[in-house]
Order: sequence, then C-alpha cells, then structure tokens
Amino acid sequence: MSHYYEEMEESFRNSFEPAPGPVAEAKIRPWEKTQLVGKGVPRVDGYERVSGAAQYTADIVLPDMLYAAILRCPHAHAMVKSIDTSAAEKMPGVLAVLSGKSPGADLPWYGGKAAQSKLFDTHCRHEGEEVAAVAALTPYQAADALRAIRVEYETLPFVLDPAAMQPSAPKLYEGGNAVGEPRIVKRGDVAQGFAEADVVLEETFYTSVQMHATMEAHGSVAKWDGDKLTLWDSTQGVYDGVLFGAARALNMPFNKIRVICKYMGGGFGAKLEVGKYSIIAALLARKTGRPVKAMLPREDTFLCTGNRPEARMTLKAGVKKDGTLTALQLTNLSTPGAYASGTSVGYQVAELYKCPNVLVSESGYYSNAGRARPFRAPGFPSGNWCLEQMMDMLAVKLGMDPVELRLKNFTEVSQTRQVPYTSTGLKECLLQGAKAFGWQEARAAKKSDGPVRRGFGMAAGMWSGGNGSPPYTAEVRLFVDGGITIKTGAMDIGTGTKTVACMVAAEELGVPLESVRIENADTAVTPYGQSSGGSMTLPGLIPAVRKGAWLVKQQLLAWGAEALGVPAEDVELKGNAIGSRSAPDKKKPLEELLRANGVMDVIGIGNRDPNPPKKAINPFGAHFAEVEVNTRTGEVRVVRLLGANESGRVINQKTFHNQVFGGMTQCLGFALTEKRVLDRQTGKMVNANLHDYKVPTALDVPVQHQVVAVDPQDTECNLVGCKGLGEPAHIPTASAIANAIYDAVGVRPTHGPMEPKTILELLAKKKRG
Amino acid sequence: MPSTISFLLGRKPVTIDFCGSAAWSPAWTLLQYLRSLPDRKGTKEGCGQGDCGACTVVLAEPDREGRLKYSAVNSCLLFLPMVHGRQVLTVEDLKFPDGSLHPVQQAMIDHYGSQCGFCTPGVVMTLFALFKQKPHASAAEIRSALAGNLCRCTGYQPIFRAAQQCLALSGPERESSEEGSTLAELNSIPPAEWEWTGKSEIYCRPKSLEQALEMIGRNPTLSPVHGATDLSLQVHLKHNPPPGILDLSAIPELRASRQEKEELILGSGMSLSDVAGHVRRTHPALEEMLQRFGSAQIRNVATLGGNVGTASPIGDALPALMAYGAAVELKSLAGSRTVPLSDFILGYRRTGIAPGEIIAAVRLPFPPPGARIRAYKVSRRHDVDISTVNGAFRLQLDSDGRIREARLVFGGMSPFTRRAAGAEQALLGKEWSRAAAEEAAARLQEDFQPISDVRGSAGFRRQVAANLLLKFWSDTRSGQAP
Ligand SMILES: Cc1cc2nc3c(=O)[nH]c(=O)nc-3n(C[C@H](O)[C@H](O)[C@H](O)COP(=O)(O)OP(=O)(O)OC[C@H]3O[C@@H](n4cnc5c(N)ncnc54)[C@H](O)[C@@H]3O)c2cc1C
Ligand code: FES
Ligand code: FES
Repeated sequence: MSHYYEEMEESFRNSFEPAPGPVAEAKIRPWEKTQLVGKGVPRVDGYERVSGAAQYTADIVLPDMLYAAILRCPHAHAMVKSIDTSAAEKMPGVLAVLSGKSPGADLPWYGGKAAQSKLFDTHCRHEGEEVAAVAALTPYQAADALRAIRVEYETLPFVLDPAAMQPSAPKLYEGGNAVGEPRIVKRGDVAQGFAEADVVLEETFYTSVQMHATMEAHGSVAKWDGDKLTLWDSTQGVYDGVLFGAARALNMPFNKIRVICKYMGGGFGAKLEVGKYSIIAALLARKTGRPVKAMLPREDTFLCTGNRPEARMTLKAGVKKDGTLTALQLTNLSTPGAYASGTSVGYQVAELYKCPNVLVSESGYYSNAGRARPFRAPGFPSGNWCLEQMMDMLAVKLGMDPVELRLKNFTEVSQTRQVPYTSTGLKECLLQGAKAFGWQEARAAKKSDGPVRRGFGMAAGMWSGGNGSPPYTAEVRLFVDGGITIKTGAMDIGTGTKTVACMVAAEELGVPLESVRIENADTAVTPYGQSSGGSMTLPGLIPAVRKGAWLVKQQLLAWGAEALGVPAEDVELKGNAIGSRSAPDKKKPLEELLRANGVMDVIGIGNRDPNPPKKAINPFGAHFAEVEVNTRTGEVRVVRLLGANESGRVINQKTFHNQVFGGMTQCLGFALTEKRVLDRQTGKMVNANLHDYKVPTALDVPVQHQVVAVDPQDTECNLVGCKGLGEPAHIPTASAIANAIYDAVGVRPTHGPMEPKTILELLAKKKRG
Repeated sequence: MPSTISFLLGRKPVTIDFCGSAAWSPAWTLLQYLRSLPDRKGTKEGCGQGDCGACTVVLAEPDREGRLKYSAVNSCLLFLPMVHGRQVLTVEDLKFPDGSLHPVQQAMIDHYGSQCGFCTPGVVMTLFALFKQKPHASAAEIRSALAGNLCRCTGYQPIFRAAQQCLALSGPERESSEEGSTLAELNSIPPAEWEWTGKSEIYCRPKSLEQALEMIGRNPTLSPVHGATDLSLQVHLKHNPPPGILDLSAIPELRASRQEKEELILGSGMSLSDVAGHVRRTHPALEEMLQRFGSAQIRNVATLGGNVGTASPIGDALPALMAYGAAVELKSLAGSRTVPLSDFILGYRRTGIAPGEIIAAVRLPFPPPGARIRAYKVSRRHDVDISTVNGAFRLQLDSDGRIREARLVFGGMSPFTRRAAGAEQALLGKEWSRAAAEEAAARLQEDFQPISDVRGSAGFRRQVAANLLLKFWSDTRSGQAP
C-alpha cells in the first residue's frame, strides 16, 4: 500500500483521473441544517491531554522491558570496515547487540524492491546512518555500551551541493548521483506565451532544508507473544506505515502484528513509514525474549528521520498589461539527501492560476545528507515561495494591487487536469481576507522612514491533496442504551480527527456528543484507515463515519417503523428508545427492539465512497502579513497575520482555527528562522538540537493572529462536504511575510529563511546600488 | 555523613538516600527521577537540555515573607538534590481529588490549547506557576512566561487565550487551603548537608558558606554550581562530568542581596528572575537584558554567579554588568577579595578564579546621574536563544555635552566579553552625535576580529556591532531620556 505522498509526483505528471466507481448511496443527502456540526467543540480527549494521563509511546513501560540504543555513523560518507561488539556484549546490563551480520538483520531498506540500502548498511551515505544497536536493562547502560562498540570506518569524500552532478563528484551510487530523469510538466507553448507578454520577469529563489522537529521523538516499543508481535509506535499510520512496513520487513502476516498508537507527539510527515528503530526494537525483542523500547534521542531525530528538502528555483513569468498571465516557466534543482524521496515543488505553478502556457522542469541529485521526507504540504511552501513572490514582483511592475492581480487570474477549472473544481474558495479567501485584514487601508497608509519600517504582504495558495479517497472504514456501533462507539484505524495526530468523527456520528444519529465514544489506531481491533497525511484524514474518514452512522440509523428506522407501525420517516432515536415523531406516546425501548431482531447492538460499516468523476477537489487559502523590519539589525518581527482558508465545510470551528494558527506558525518558522546547517568541512549537521535549530516560540508569533473560515457549501466533494486543512493552512504564509518585507524595505528576500543577516546584506547591497 | 534528601512530591513526602540506593545518583536530573516513577509519566522529555519546556514542573518553596513561591523550572536540568526542602508539582498534581480539573487545565481544553498534546503538560505547568505568582499578568507577560515551552502544533494563540481565561478567574483558589500544611511540612524539613562519593563522581551539598569553603578548600577540583543550567549539560549531554560537584544552591547567604550606599550586592546564587526584580529601578539596562535571557524556566534557576563563572563569550549578563562597572567578590578559606569583572574574565570560558575560591557575590555600583546606559542582544530568534552579538554601552557627558567617559562592551565579537578600546577612545571629548557614533563604529573593525559560526558570519557580526552603536546613539541622543 503505497501512500499518497509517494504517488504525488506520479500523479502530478499524469494528472490522474479517479476511476469512476459505484456512486454514493443516493439516499444520503447533504445535511440541510446541523445541530452540532459547524460549532466550536472542545476535544473529546481533552481531559487525557491536559491531565498528563494521555499515554505516548515514550511513556510505555512494560514488565521486564529493555532499552535499545542505536550506534550511528559519525561521518558524512564512510564504509564500515569492521565492527567489534565483543566488549559491548560484556558490559553490565547488556543483553543483546545487533549489527548487519546478526541473523534476521540483513534487511533491504529504503525504496521497496529496488532497495537503496539496508537496515545496517556497511556503506554509510550520511551522518547518522545505523551501524549497530544494543538492548540493555537501562537506557544509560545501553548508551554506555554503544561507546564500547569498536567500528573501523574508511571515510570517503562527500558531496553536499549541486557539485554532485559533476562527473568527478564522490558517488553515492554506482550509477551516479542523478535522481532519475528530469520531471517535466508541459502545457501550451511558453515561448509563445512570453512573446505575447507585455512584461516578462525572471528571478531565482532558494529555500533551505527545514526539519520537522516534532516534540515527541520517534520511537517504538516491541513485544513478542510467541509468534505474535505488538508494536506501540509513535506514527502517523498504524496500517500503511507501521503494520504493512513491519510485515514486509519481518516477512510476517498482517494479523500477527498489532500496531497501536493512541497518542503521538507530532509527525508533520516525518512519521509516515515504519522506522528502522521499530524493526530494531522488534529484532532485539525477539533475540532477548523481552519487550524492547527504542526511543530516538533528539539529535538522531534531526539526523535520520527526514526533512523538507531545499529547492533552487528559477521562475520566469510573462504577463499582459492588464495582469493576465501568459506563461510560467520553472526549473527546480533539489536534493533528497542520500536516498530517494519527493523533491518536486512545481504543482502550484502549473495549477494555482489560469495560465495557458506552462513549463516545469525539475531534477534532483543525491548528496551525503539526511534524507528528505514528506513535510506538511511537501514542495508547496517552496513552490509558493517563488510563485507568490513572482506575483508580487509582477504586481509592482504593473502597478497593480497584488490582490487584484490574483483575482484577475482566478480560475474555477483545475489547470493541470482541465476539469472543474467541486468548489473553489480562492476568490472568497482573497476578498474576505483582504477585507478582514484591512488590506487596502494598510497599503495606502504612509510609511515611516525611521529605522524600523512597517510593511504589508499577502500570498495565495492551494494544495494538491485535501480530497480524501477510499479506502477507509469506520465501524459505528449502537448499544442498547443509546450509546455509540466508533472504531477506525485512522489516526488522530493532534488534528482533532477523533473529535470531528464523534461530532459527525452524533449529528447523523441526532444524539448528544457525550453519547459518542471513539476507539482508533489499533490494527488488532479497528478497521483499516489510511495514514494521516495529505490533509486527507478528515475528508477520507469522516464521510465513512457518516455513512456508518447513517446505516445504523436506516436499520433502526426500518425496525422501528415495523415495531411501531408508523412510516420510517416518522421514527426517531430518543435516548435509549425509539419513538414516533407524530405520536409521542408510541415508543419502544431499544433493548426490546434489538432483542426482538436477535441482536444487542446495531453495527454500521461505513466505507468511504469514491470521489465524483471528472472533478477536482482541492482546498485553497490566502494569507496576509504585517511586519516590522529593523534596518539596523535586520530583525524582522511579524506583528500581524491573517489566514483566510477554504477547506469545504467547517465541521468544528475550534479545530479549524487551530489548524490555521499552527500551520501558519510552522511556515513562519520556515520563513524566518528554520534551516538545517551542514558543516562544509565535515558534512555534519551543526544544529541538530532544539537550541540551534530554531522553531518559533511564543514570542515569535504575532500579537494579532486572525482566521477567516470560508465555507463554499460544497455538496459534491463527499458526503460531508469537507476538504482537508492541515497542509493548505501552512502553504502561503512565508511568501506573504516575504512580500511584506519587500513592502517595508524595498528589498526582496528571495533566499529563505530571511535571517537578520540576509536582510542586512540585501539592504547594504541596495545602498551600494 | 548522610546523603539523604527530603521533599514533597505533590502532597507526598519523599526521602531518597543516595547511599542506600543503587538506582539513583545525585547527579541525576529531576526529570530522570520523575520518569522512572510509574505514576509521573505526564512530565515529558523533548530535548533534555532546557530548550523545549516539555519537562516543565513547578517548584514551591517558602519565600522571604513565608508564603509559598511557585516557579516553573526545566526538570531536565536540575540535579535531583536541588529539590531538597521544596515541593515538586507535576501535571498529575493539579487536578482535584475528585478528578475534576484545575482551572488552568480546563482553560486549555476550552480553548483547544493542545493538539498533539506532547507539549501540553509542560505548558499547563508554566500556566499554573503564572496563575499562582502573577494572576494579573499582561498579554506580554503571558507570552514571555510561555516562551520556554515550544509547541510545534498550535501556533500558541489558543494557549494565550487559555492563559487569559484562567488568569481572569478571581475568587478563592481551592489549593490555598492546603498551602498552610504544605508550608508547615516544608519548614519541618531540616537543611541537609552532605558529601557523597560514588564510583566516579563526588557530590557535595554544603548548607553554609563556611562549609562550602571548607569543602572546596579541601578539594579544589570541585566545580561550584548554582542553577546547573550550564553544568548539567556538561554532565548529561556532553558526558563530560567534572571530577566533583559542589552544589551551592542550599546556602541562604548566597541567595540574598543587600544594598549599600554606593552599590547593590547581589548574592551569586540569586536567580536571574530574582535579580531582575531587584535591579529594575536602579539598573534598567541589566534588567532589560535579563528579560531576554533564556526562558522563564531558565531565569528561575540560572544565576548571576553561574553566568559570570561560565565566562561564555556570549554570556548575556556580562556586557551590562561591565557597563555598570560590576566587581566580583571571591571567597575562600584564605579570605575574600574583590576583582573588577572586566579583569576577572580572562579568555574563552576562562576566569581569574583561584583554586579553592568561589564567587560569593557581584557588586553592582549605582550609576551616576546622567549616565546613558543601554544593553542590546541580537539573536536569530527573539527568546530562548543565545546571542549572536550582545553589547552594553555607557556614556557620561560633560556639562558642555562632550563625552567624558565611554564604556562599550561587546560579547560575541571575540573569545570573551570585553570593551572596545579603540572605539571608546574615538568618542572621548566628542559631542554625542551621529557622526561620533559612526566614527566609533568604524573603529570597531580594529577592536574585534569576530569569527563565523552557526549563529552568524563574521561580516554579519561586524555590521551588527556597528549598527548597535548607531542604535545606541538614536536611543540616547540628546532630547531622548538619558
Ligand atoms: C536553554 C538554555 C538557555 C540559555 N540561555 C542563555 C542566554 O540567553 N544567555 C546566557 O548568557 N546564557 C544562557 N544560557 C547559559 C546559562 O543558563 C547561563 O550561563 C547561566 O547564567 C548559568 O547559571 P547557573 O547558575 O545555572 O550556572 P551553573 O551551571 O550552576 O554554573 C555555570 C558555571 O559557572 C561556575 N560557577 C557557578 N557558580 C559559581 C560560583 N559561585 N563560584 C565559582 N564558579 C561558579 C560553574 O562551575 C560552572 O562552570 C542558557 C542555558 C540553557 C540551558
Ligand atoms: S526536556 Fe526540553 S527543556 Fe527539558
Ligand atoms: S500540541 Fe503538539 S507540540 Fe504542542
């Protein structure tokens, strides 16, 4: 089961069309009026989260449990010549040592059949690659034992940058360092488009490597009972990620592995696959006959669990005097690090605006650095960074309002797929966002010429995912006392999936929220759900939940109609009984009704229906920023942000606002402070900790942060009318901040992040002329 | 000698005897201890080095007025013996016996202050300390208090709203009924002094200054420690423990301050938040700098003595202290001596401390009327970040407006914090004008040869240093408040 992310580039190229399937049950209609859906409801698991009761993988302690530690290569590029574990094996508390030579540990890794590496590969292609592992009674003994393992390395020359493309560069693979063929997306004829343009601009842009920096590290606890394995894993996907991955690695049937993840401390794309640590824990547990916990130290999460790759982009744009785009041409060169992973950034260039002529060409090279992984809207903040700064440049050149320019090129038809969107709120996001922000007034106000300058900027964006699709299964079960339990293998990685699922079931069945409970993410008991990624959990799962609840209702109504002798439309569920709407004295306890039909519960199995054919389903947004730039120190302060986002129906105001606050803040970090720094001399990461790697704090976020929720009343996209939000809320923020900086000081920070030194250099350059 | 500590863990008295226990050594952190307990898993580890706040717990102890004072601290940095005589409160302690939530926790639910939830226990504890200590905190104070709690999910806005909701609550707080008995229990724990020798480490915990001097006199290889925010990283992160630890955190004399005619005398063991409170009116530039020092959790335990003792080239208190003309009071069995700070800092993380000596106090003269003093810090992120460049500047003008005395102190520009002699010279006798500031800024290029590192390039440092002088000029030019 390959995940959506892996296929994204593929689908980008082929502009795929979902196979038309059986149409959704005709009888489920969009809700006309809702009781609960649309309100702001606190989380159903709030108590556990604020009281410390929520149990994370890091908190799991089992009787007799051992602690694993993993030895990592300290060099950017090296061959392991020999490993001597004999001293480590004799250390106090050490019960097992594992290396590539250990039975069952010689496993292919990274890239399925055409694996590029091994669980413990002797060829270490970046700092931090796994070399050996130990299990000991305490984490401290395990860490001490690592230091006793003697490894002889042959260090190799390394390469970190585009020099990797040169024939003389150190090679990561026999076949050279190029990552496949360049990926081309072509529409119309750009040469002709540029010829038709009144203004043509070209600029190069760069975005740095951003780290996921989840608050809970990656980790797993493994326990064997005979031939059955249980893994508690900090993951975004108990099924696609851990279960299927572990079954493949260990060559085991799916039902012999149980994967559980009730609470996890953040993923953002870095926890979509089974980790080496999970398999190492499983192997060590098998070897010792005891449960083993492998939590990664913070530093290791920076070195080995993924990142958003850098992008070197050149964008050329042609536009007519009236603002009509005629052509867009993008090249992008990037590196996924040492192993294959998506690096494409071009989707929005080909999709966001109406433009007949587009050429996107992207290529990649391998380098001796930690591998890229999907990171919240992979490729999109980077692609947005160049596209939306270019739009700002065009607006300046044309003397046009930036909002106006975007409205001018607004489209209701997917440009890459040439089918209409089920809905697009982009126009409304631009209009309502600008109004709520006070855009026109702000831009018109006179600027100070003191050392601290103020500026305003905006940017639009869209996300290629957010549609959701089958397969997803939600089991909705009604107890005879009227209580409901939902079961699903879908994850709640903090986004509020559980809360929203309960709301939707309560809405459909007309019961109070308190009557609904949810159990999720346990492959032994909950039905299949995809990994949480692509902003597809909500639009994937929630229609299935509604369907399951609807099926329960249909069953109840049918039995109720029969028992009460009234038409089904007249039957309603009231607490632990069913009754007639028109004749309130006609009612029957649920238990009686169900027993009479030979059951003690009613179960509805909701499967996710296919999406409508020949339609595109995408979420949109427009973000606005106000900044202060200190021209003496180069410091930038974001004083105000506004996110106007459209993601279909707003099911829970609170979750909606939260995603927008959080998504924008993470992109603010991308804009201003976050970047991986590799030492040119050694190829090692110098800021692999939360001190030197800067994620935004409470003092870096704006004092005013506003959210505008645009609801397009989409009745087509799925049974609930919702699209995904987590990623679109994250995409245009950095570009809006960059445009605001330009507005403030008249220099364009094309290279991110926009650190004080970058701003000062640009200002100095401008002064020199 | 015994090596026992006693404290309250929530409402439960706990005693640990390091001699009798194979499991715990005194150099363990409070976090390691808490996470080894079955019922205290709410306190999380996100980084183990003071940067994320996931491990935040609250320490309560009697203050000078005999009331309970609550401070949020990073449990990952605190050596376990430092909780002796205090109450340790973790997220599990907040809910009421009937299981209902504390107003802080309820507000976090109401405002959706938690997404993945991993940062949440730490955030809750920071808010709890604020709820207890600063019920009327302003929006800016709320943000500042929370700056040491990283949250990767929520964007903080929901947490700010939660803070506002719970801080707006007035009326009797339900805990106060218990505070009396907590105080009584804490007061009944006698101060403990001991020396503990493990397999490879020594941990000494004197309860008086004399004892401390005696211990270090006997064994000069001991490293004195107050807040351990620096030393604990050496032990737990760099795996490079000193031969022995002399824990000064239990010595009341070192945590006290006193005022004399010409100067303030600040005990080396005063926490930076305590110091900030003391110098607010008299030394505002120092106070401002301390506000940007680490996070609230760090400021609650890190000390002035520790910052001076570290002698880091980017130690944030140092430039301001030097600008105010601070001196260091050193004590040993042989007696006591006072050295100007600028003579005490000798090189990269190197001071003029002699074997057997400890820093007892920092003497901080009151600035003369009319002195223009400012301190600045430039870092990549506003808070919880060490400086790329910091600086503190002081000018004294003659009655005719000419510069009589100039002190320009910079950190981050050379291996240690020091004055810019050339630039200072350039200012003497001049009027305080933009041209004078520019000339001094130009002279900085000869005063310093900064290096490039993760935090900034040499060129950037040079430029920022020069610009800070211009900023100083525009902040203090005539017509502005001195
Ligand atoms: C997350 C984090 C953020 C930080 N942010 C900043 C920042 O913004 N600015 C900054 O300047 N620093 C910062 N630091 C560094 C550190 O907090 C400070 O240097 C602090 O002042 C140290 O005080 P302490 O009491 O904790 O020192 P300790 O760790 O107790 O001691 C530090 C050093 O000083 C010596 N020492 C301590 N007391 C004495 C004494 N009485 N006599 C002789 N020697 C003594 C010790 O032997 C040791 O070498 C930060 C640290 C962390 C972990
Ligand atoms: S664990 Fe991060 S501050 Fe303590
Ligand atoms: S809620 Fe995830 S880190 Fe704060």
